[in-house]
Amino acid sequence: MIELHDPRGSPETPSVRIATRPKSLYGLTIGLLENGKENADALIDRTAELLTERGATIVRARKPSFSRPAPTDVIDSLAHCAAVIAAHGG
Amino acid sequence: MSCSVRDAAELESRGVPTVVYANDVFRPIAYGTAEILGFSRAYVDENVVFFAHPTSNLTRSHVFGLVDDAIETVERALLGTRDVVAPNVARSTDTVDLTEIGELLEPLRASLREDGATLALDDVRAGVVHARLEVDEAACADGTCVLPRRNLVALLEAALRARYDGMHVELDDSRERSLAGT
Repeated sequence: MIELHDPRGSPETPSVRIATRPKSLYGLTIGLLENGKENADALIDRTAELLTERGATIVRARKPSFSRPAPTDVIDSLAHCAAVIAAHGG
Repeated sequence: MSCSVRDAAELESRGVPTVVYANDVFRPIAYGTAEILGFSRAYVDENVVFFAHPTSNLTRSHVFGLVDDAIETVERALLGTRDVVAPNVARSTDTVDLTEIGELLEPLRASLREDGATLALDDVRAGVVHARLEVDEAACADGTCVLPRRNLVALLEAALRARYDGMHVELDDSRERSLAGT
């Protein structure tokens, strides 16, 4: 008997864990991630101003390429934040 | 856009709630990427704040105004208390027009062009879009700078199903023709 193994993989859908949301932004550190496209910086600048008015502390980061996922060091720089906003300009 | 959703997935997996700003033309790609990553479409509805496309040609003060108008929605999204009204746009494939499909998929096709590939739409019949992917060997010699076929098909179908019920994609992928010829 010949046993045939199909080398094709099957699409795998990873299970994703959604982070628990905070109850308030006041006093929290919020990360703002800019992807480098046009006006992403303006979106982030104004967001930073408004969230600061709401009592948040802002940490900013920028992706080296908008067409690639953020590299590990950029993600690491935001991993301590209570929440992140990622702005995709364009 | 798909990269921003991937960034969000990475941050969420590390326990960091993440909200994404995006232009509304990228909504189908956001849905498609979310589904590939194992999110529900509701994740996009709840955590992506869309702005009218384009934002690139707006003045800085205009962009500031967009954020001013959206900030309460952003705050609710961050806190997980956003009132979400998911767009209900799915409709039968009986009245599908290839031009309309081209417009729907244009942001994704543009991303593929940036990666050195062209997605041509040949036909749509009986709920199936027939498409061809041509990968420029000069720009992407081994073909790996473009999504693997199965992921690309999943992304295309998820994007299409944001508007059309049960749409499928038959993709003729030049990378597979190259393999078959070797």
